[in-house]
Amino acid sequence: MTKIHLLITKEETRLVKRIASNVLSKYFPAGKRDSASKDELYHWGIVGLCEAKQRYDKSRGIPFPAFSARRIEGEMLDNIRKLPIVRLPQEKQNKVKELKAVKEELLKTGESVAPENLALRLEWSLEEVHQVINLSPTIKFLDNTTQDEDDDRVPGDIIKDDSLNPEELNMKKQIADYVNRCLEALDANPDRIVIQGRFNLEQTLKELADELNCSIQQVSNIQRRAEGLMKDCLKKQGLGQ
Amino acid sequence: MQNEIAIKDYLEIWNSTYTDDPSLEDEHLDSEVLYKMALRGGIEGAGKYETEHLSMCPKCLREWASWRRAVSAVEETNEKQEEYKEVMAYGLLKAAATEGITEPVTLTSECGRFTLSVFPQVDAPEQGIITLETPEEGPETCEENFAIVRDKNGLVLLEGKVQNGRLARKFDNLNRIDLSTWTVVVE
Repeated sequence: MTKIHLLITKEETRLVKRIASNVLSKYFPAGKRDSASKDELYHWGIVGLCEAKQRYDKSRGIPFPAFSARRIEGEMLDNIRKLPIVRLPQEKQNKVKELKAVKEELLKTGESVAPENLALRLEWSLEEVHQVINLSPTIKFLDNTTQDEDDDRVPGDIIKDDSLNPEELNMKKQIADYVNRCLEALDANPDRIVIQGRFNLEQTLKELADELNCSIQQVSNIQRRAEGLMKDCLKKQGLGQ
Repeated sequence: MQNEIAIKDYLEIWNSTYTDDPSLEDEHLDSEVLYKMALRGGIEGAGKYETEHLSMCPKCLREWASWRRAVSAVEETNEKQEEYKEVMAYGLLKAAATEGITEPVTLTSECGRFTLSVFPQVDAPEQGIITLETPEEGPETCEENFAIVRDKNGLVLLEGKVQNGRLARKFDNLNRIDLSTWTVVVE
């Protein structure tokens, strides 16, 4: 048996803690923390750190702290995905599926998917709709695949739904093409980056301000303008009437 | 609002449809490029082609966002220099076959502070005793603190208060243990 010596530093311990704390607050807001404990995340973080130490290639020009931070978070998220499989009651899983089906139906016809409209269609209370919407990121963890090195999915990402029939898939592709056209019509920087950051990646105004090297107010203004352009374009394509 | 266009929902559909778009396959940006674009002001410094591709490619957007989170976590860690009471440690074992322990093993954590030992029973090697040992006194002591030891797969090997520099328990499934990486978290 050969033992490998790879010392862990205080800064790295601090980094694991920081990432665990970010992951907990992002994916397990107050009241839902029973799904993952801090010490479990620390464990996965340390495992990720070990892997990073073993795989790190200095010649690629990425500093080790950033390289390891990405691997630490990846390992935590890989394992979170496997967690709530048996913990979400069947009844709640069905509710999430029901809501998803109605939402897709509304999107196909270009109708509003605002919680109020979903409540009306589902004949649920608004509060119930919000509760089930909040469960949705959790149910996406039900996908039992593991993350490989090139798979950058994070909880909340869309998992390809193979249950759609060809006609539905075609409809979905058509909507996606319209959306693509509207995205292409925006300036890549900053409009499209801001739209993707805010609505696709759920980044905060501050995060985008850092990325774009401008003020939060400027990002807010860019968002308002780009959102308007995007909505106008989607309307022209017959979506969201 | 009833007539509100849900950009987020439309982008979800776009995401799921274009993620595996074969026309983008050969054009994805390298990790190094995405990392640089994830630095503060990185978008500003990037080329037109890179920004165009990033803003239209779900796969590169996701990797870029994960680099962003990594860079932010490193920055936050450097800025805040938080004090922490938890102790984290790990040990590694590189063996031909790491699954299952059939003979006595003693491993020291990388920091040298903890020693994990596994003693299988001679007549029933899948059963045995696992112990964790740590200094009973001095600056590195964890006496009376709660410790958890896990194997690579997250299986809890030991859990409890460290007393007299030791934590131990009987274990029935030593054949399930993978010590290629093991961790200790002391709270």
